[in-house]
Amino acid sequence: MKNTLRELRTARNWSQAELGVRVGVSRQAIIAIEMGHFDPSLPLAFKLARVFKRSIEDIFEPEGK
Amino acid sequence: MHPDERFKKSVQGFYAYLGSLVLAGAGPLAASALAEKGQPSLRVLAVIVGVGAWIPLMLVIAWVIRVGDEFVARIHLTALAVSFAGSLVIVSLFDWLARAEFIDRPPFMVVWISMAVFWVVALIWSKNHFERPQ
Repeated sequence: MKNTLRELRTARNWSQAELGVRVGVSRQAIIAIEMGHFDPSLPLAFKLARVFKRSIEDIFEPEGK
Repeated sequence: MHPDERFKKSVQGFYAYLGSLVLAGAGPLAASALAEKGQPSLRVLAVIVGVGAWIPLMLVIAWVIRVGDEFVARIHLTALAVSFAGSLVIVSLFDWLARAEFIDRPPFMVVWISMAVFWVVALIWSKNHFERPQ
């Protein structure tokens, strides 16, 4: 799953740890999501969408699309 | 979860993990010493200590999976799945090697130590897999 998490996060000058605190996961989880090594669950994807005031589809895109 | 609470839980988890690893390592040694004693009560204690040494580690891992975030849970669950599959291969490998008379039937200790080592290796692999650089 490709995502624009890093771009959205850096645009707000948030660190990975800070974003982790906002959505309730560890910095390692944010790193793994940004790298595309870990796809978040639907509840976490909703939390991420909420903190960036975007829809899930704006942040995540399936690889083969 | 508040960041301070998360940090506190991480520290607690680390020490619980460390303590349970020490128990898992020391338990079999103590159990071996007890099993060699002649008294039945000490031999019963050897069985309890030998098996019981694993329980804290298993409880800590279950706790980490339950209270950790989904990424931590994924790492541990993947490691458990890989180590289960690996253990199945190891146990059947020993069995078939023995049945085909390439080796003598190994003691159970070799089997469960192999399984424990496989679990550690699977955990290291899983952590590196999910946390690898691009």
